[in-house]
Amino acid sequence: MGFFPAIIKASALGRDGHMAPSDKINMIAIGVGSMGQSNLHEFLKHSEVQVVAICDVDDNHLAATKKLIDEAYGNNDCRVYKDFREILEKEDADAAMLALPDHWHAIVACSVANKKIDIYGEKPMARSIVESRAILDAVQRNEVIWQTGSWQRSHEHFHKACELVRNGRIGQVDFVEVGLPNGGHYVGNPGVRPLPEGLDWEMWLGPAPAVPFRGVVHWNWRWIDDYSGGQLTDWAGHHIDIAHWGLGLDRSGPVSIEGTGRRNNDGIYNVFAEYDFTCMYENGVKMRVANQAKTQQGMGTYWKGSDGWIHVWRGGLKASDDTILNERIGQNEIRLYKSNNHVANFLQCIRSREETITSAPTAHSAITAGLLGEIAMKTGQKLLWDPKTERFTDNNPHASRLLRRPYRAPWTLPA
Amino acid sequence: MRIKIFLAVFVAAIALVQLSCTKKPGLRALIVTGQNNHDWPRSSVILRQILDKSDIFTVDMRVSPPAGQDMSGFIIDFSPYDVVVLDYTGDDWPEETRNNFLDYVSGGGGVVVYHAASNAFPDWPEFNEIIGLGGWGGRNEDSGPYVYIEDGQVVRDDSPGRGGSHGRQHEFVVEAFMPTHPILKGLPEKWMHTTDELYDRLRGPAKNLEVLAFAFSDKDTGGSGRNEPVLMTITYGDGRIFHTALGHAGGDIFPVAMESAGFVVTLQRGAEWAATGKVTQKPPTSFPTEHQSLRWEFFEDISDLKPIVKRMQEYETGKSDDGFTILAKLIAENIGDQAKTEEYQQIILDLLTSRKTTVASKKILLKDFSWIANDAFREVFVSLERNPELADEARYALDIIGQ
Repeated sequence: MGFFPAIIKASALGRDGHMAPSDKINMIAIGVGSMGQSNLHEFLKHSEVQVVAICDVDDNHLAATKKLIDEAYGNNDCRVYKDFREILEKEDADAAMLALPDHWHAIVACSVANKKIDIYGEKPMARSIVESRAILDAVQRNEVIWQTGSWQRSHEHFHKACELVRNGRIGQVDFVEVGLPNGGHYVGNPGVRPLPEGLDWEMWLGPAPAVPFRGVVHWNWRWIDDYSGGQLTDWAGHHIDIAHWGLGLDRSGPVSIEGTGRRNNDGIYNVFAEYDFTCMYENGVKMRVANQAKTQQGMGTYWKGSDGWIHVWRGGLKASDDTILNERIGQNEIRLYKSNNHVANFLQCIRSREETITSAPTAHSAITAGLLGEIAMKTGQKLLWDPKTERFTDNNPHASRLLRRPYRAPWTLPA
Repeated sequence: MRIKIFLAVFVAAIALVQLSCTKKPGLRALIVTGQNNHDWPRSSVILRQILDKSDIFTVDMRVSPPAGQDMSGFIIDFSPYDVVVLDYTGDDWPEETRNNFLDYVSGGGGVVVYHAASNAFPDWPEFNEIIGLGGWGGRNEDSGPYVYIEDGQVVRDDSPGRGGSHGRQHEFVVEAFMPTHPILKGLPEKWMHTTDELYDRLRGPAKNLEVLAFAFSDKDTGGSGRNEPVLMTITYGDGRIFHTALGHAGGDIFPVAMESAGFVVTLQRGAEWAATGKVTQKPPTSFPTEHQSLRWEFFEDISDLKPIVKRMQEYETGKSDDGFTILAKLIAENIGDQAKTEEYQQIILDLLTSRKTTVASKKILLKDFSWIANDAFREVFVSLERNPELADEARYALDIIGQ
């Protein structure tokens, strides 16, 4: 490597339109608030990556993130944009890190995939099932690498738990309980507030309904239905994903879903604060998803089989019998995808063109289960679902309307 | 002529101002919170919602610094208020605030002592006279007598022992001791309360204290075996105090004890009595029975939808949007009942077509309720699309139901 960092788009040098192994990965970042900056900290640890440009609708995010990147590289080269269309037009990137509010995921991810740029995208896949499917299709159509920010899969004890369950160490699994965080954040009914300096509110809203600024934007958008499904959809990409992985259902979905939830009585934060729903899968497995106060086990994923149980959460791994956890997985048994570092896994896959550990189909599967739960709670109905056609088998007219979210003009999902 | 027109406009403007002023409920309440061994961020909001629902209070809130922080800036002037609701147990208030509080109460101010507020300030004698009975914080026989009901009489028991305890949480019957007191008048004499912490063995000065209602604290649930006071009044100088020992708020997202219809109604009536010495609120049409508790998730009886529809109709950004939450909940709960679903669809349709419904209200209805629309909605959506203020949301609704 010479004195100057490689600034030619690496893919121009590689085979099949993709980069040669010796070159740097030119990366752009879209959405550089708290999550985006946290992800960039990880990427900056990898010398094979060169973060060349960033994009955000808030000048404050841009300034803080540019500082972070320029300080890491000892230069002043990081370019900044406020419109993702412009960064995509002007920058020649190999990879993109996306950390946007959920209501923006589909438009941006599809646009990036259409540019043949590999994507590290934050969970959940999207705000609606139709949007999530659109991302999955765009990723597959464009043959880009997709890694979801569901990093638990790259941690040893989650991997171990799933491998033990997959290999029958607790027998035939008929029930799995997924405990996610309690909701109920409350801010009441704030009035209209002056816009913070540097924030492009119109662009922040984008395809979501036009509403006046009421003091809630970064981070806390996740308690507002127009942008997020709250803790449920925020965490579906973690513990539901893990539940699916252990069950071998991470490219499938439930056939029926029913449940109940409760929102705050009033206020701008209107997602389900309490939630409790059950998914039935074609093989007879039942998955309960609820906020942790309602579960037996608290946070995490708990599989119950004919010969015991396994419970895994961020703080640990437990089984009905300690000997289960000491079991070895033999050569001829099912070996699950192994990654020790979520970001490194993405970078390796950019070179190898292999699937990542949390590829688009698995992320789509996890958020679809979560979003179906949300629709079941909103409508009060038992939903009958065909995971192959992604339609309700009884053509449920009301629930079908909630599979997608209308976009405000001029926004449309990129073809 | 010009002056006359000017005057007419001026008078009309004054009338308008007065009209909008009369909309704000007349009694002023202040909730004091910020430190508590309970979930005060949740309980204080619920107390405000309960008082708001009475439609007679305008509610302010004062939140203290966190425990252990400098309290010197926590100065409260209580004088503008008709009632002060105490949801506070923690660090001492600064002297100025303590003095202001005593002046306020003795000068005729109203106070509501809510649940763990009776644990506060064990070493402040005047405060303990105001709350009548307290618990924990080292309270014992020096704090004053135990007070309980035995054989239809109030017993003041000076025997030694700790002040303040409770057994396991459970549902229990609240029984009126003074059923004709304005706070309780017109309510059933016995009603089942939702699962709650039943305080027992409270003790304090108990001067000028009347027990309004009690509950039996069963030894089987870890209680005292006595009829413990749960609703009380105290007078201090010219001040009136309503003390409710009910309404525990622990870690639950939605504390069931505070959603008890009995807790809600007695709090609203007790606050009014403390503020004015009278109770003008009518007893509710539904109430828990001796055998069946009643949970009001929205702190009101939602079987009558009329006032709820009116709130939705008048909704403006910044006002409570709970009417929409109630409607969404009812729709989901009754989705299998065609008649009810049609009733809710009609409510939405009527609101969307009424000129009295605010633009802010119609925006929410178009956005969040179009999924439940039937065929009759389409032409309404189409016509609303011609209104520039609602065009985006009408298009959203049309998109939802399919063009």
